[in-house]
Amino acid sequence: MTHATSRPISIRCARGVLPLLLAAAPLPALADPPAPSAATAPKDDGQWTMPAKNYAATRYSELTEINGETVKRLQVAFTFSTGVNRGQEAAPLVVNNTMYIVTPFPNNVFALDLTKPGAPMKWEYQPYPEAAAQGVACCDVVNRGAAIADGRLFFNTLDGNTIALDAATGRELWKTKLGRINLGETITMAPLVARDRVIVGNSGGELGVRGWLAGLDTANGKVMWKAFATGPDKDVLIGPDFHPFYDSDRGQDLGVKSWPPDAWKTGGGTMWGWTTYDPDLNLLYAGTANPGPWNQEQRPGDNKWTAGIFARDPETGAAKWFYQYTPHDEHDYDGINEILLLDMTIDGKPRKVLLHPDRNGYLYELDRTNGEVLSADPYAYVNSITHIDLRTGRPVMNPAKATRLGTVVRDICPTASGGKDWNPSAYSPRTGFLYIPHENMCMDWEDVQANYIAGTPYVGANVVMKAGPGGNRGEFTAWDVTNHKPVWSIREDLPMWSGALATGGDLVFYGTMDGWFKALDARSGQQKWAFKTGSGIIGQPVAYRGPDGHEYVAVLSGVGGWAGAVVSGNLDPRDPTGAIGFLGVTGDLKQKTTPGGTLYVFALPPQ
Amino acid sequence: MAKHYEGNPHAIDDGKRLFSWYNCDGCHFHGGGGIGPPLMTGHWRYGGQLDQIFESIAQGRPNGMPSWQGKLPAAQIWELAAYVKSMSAPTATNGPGQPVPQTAAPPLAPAPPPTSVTPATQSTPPP
Ligand code: HEC
Repeated sequence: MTHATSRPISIRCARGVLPLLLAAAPLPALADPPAPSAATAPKDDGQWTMPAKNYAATRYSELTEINGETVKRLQVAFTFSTGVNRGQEAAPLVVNNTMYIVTPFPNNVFALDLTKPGAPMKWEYQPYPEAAAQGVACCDVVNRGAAIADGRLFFNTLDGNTIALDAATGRELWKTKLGRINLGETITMAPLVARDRVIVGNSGGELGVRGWLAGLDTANGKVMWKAFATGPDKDVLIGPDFHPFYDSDRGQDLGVKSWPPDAWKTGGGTMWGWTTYDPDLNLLYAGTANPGPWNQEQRPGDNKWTAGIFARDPETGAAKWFYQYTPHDEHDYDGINEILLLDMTIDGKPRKVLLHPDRNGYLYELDRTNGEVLSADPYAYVNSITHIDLRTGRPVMNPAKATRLGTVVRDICPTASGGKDWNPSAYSPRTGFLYIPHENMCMDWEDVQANYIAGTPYVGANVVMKAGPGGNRGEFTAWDVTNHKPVWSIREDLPMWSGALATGGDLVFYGTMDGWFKALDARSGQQKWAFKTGSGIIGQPVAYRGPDGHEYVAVLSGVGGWAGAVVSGNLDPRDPTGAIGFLGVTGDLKQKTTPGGTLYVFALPPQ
Repeated sequence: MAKHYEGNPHAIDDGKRLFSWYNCDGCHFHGGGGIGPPLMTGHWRYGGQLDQIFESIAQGRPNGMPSWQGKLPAAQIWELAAYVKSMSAPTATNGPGQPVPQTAAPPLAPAPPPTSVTPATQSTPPP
């Protein structure tokens, strides 16, 4: 099944950015938009217990008080300094009238009492991670947030620990060491709780680590299973239950055989991004990151099981199926971006679908029961891949954009950071649109020989990024998931590194790298409200119902991450290769924002 | 010691090759920085005299600069220091306007790269 696609376009006017409506004709059918199942998106209780809001990962709040009519009155209710001026990628969580925040390294955790004026601190927990961990974090010392279940808060530290706290008191319940910084391993992802397991994966794909995902017992932190992304089947937890959809993923020990001898031991495939879970199918979904080193000539083969997605049993970790978005990746197209779970009717049949806007620039629609690709459409400007072959599931690469040793290949789109990176989309079941915060960037790439020295980068590429066609570096696109089309799109000058939030008030929220926090009409894309925060926004906005019964919207402001490292690390953009090529495209960011670390919470003024 | 290496074009040239051979460029790139701080600004966290730069490389620094002492011969650390220092010199080969990526140097004959590095201890006090 293929779908015609078109590039989103938008226009710029003198006084700001106006979205251009792309779907001139009304939608063909008036059927309800696709919705997540009840098990993956239970009725909204006004809390926000995990970064993605629910297992469907919709990042959709049903609250309606803040809407197209009222949003113009939206104002700051309170703020809070995290005390750390590095990239704030975490989602604030709200449980039992308490807000929880995890800071970037040193990964302090704060609980704020929402029942009192100004939300005073209830407790603080400081894990004191090893300082040397900062030297093996590829892309700023970020943390993507915590997860809360059954009165326990779970989070990860940069130096490789998973910690459980009593959410009421901040008391440490257990602490499990999982990663080894001497090998280049860090942990930056937000854990996921699935049944009685905490799911955690490592970062370090730029340092020759071997990717893994672990399932810990929520009660005591015991490691119940650890599944590697490379190596023999027994390490990957591939057994008799493994039934991948495509032939190229069938065979014994492909995690060894699809690599040159021993290369899988330093082959990456880390799991630093988004995982999710379908309770009805009892399947855990987790993407794997890029193969290492970036220099593809050092690792001929498909490099299983990197740049793809596993479905696993959360109890045992046993692999059920796998699909590889980008076999033998040669552009750093990690497969770890967000995974949304929707129930859709496709060609008249109900399908359990997962949506995934990949780094490689394609939005995938997979049957989440078996890993079959139902569609794959480019949502950003892509020239490195011509299309996805739906018979084999494989991307058809453009040979002109293949990377080579000692050759500078110019204008490869998207960049190593992808059509989009980790910063998650939101989905509104009222509009049927997926709101994708993404990039519009290209890069020059030269492969060089990479030497493996444990605990140092293992990349082997000189990269310089630049703006894509049109000159804007970021974009915010509303994508009609039923009709596989962009509906409207906002051009943003700076790269887009913030997540999206959709609400029942038919608004969508996101932030920009120069600090604007914006609310748009979810149907038209018209900007309804904006507020300038103290630093660039690369965090994940959330909405919740306060103890007073009113709706609040919260976001962390504080530039950084890979895209904002120039500011948070005070780097020198005269070297465009710096920060693995991001300095080439962020040379102006230091003139537009400064480091920060502040929580902003917004509400309508009391009547 | 420092006198012999400082501004010495041969030492700087060798240091430049060692800088990519030992993966310094993976963290500091061509001076603009990434994981590690930029080295081309002329501003230093731990001092910009050649012996201070030598110390940074040899001992490592607490916030993630690995220690290379015992992994590399002292002469190579001096060459690296000379190159690092040259990045911010007014006539820097990697200075403003010319930070073009270079193809990595061919492996230097003498020492294979170490297979691991040692994180600096947290006890090293910042200056
Ligand atoms: C794994 C990443 C990594 C590697 C590899 C690395 N560095 Fe560093 N380097 C750092 C970090 C992080 C710091 C900052 C440490 C601190 O502030 O405590 C640093 C600091 C330094 C400093 C001190 C800078 C100042 O402002 O005082 C020098 C000099 C330096 N590195 C040179 C080198 C050289 C030469 C090499 C190769 C032999 C190298 N580095 C390899 C991460 C790295």
